Amino acid sequence: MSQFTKGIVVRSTVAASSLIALVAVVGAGWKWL
Amino acid sequence: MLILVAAVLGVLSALVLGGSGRRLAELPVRALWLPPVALVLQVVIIEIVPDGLPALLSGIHIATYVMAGAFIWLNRKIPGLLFVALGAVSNGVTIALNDGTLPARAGALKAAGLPVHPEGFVNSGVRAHAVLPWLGDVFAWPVPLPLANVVSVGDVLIVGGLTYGAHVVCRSRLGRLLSRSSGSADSKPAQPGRRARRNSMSEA
Repeated sequence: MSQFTKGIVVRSTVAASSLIALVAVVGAGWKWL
Repeated sequence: MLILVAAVLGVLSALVLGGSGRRLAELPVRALWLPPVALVLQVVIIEIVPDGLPALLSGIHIATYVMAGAFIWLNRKIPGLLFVALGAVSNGVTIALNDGTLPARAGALKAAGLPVHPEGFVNSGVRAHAVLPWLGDVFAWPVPLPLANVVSVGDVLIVGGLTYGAHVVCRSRLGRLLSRSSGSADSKPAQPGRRARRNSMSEA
């Protein structure tokens, strides 16, 4: 995997994780972690 | 867990349906740290110190929604976040009006196999004189379905908004269809490259 591809994977994962954390916070999805 | 799984599946579905992960990587998300910090705070007050000072726990719970609101405002141009915001406002206002607890329908809790009267602080539970009870956890994803749980109208908006946004941002087949049919500002996830650079500079 090239550095460029790794960068895309990391940055997209970070962005998606933050948005999903937002869902957990406002949707109380953390409750069953 | 139900909502989290639904959210993850919503994002992944955009990639499965031909969406571009690169577009997601270039999405200009500001203050990325806010949601994880708010999430940690919620886990602490619910899972670690649920028997602490009720007023303090309720205050922290409401504060996490303020943090979420700030994140949404900073990222309001991201497609779908309007729906997430509506869902968050629905949940957040209802929680604030009910002393830090989202009112739940007893029948929904029973259907989901959850305790109707648990001990300690709960973020969702039956209240004797709930305000706006119809905005609480009134729906059930019942047992014996996996991840049985209760769900609010706000939750549906939140997961739907994230899924919609993922499809539009990643330009999946569904996202392109939604963009064409809506013709709204959400259909124009504009200039990710320029904003991404600005974002990375601010984080440096």
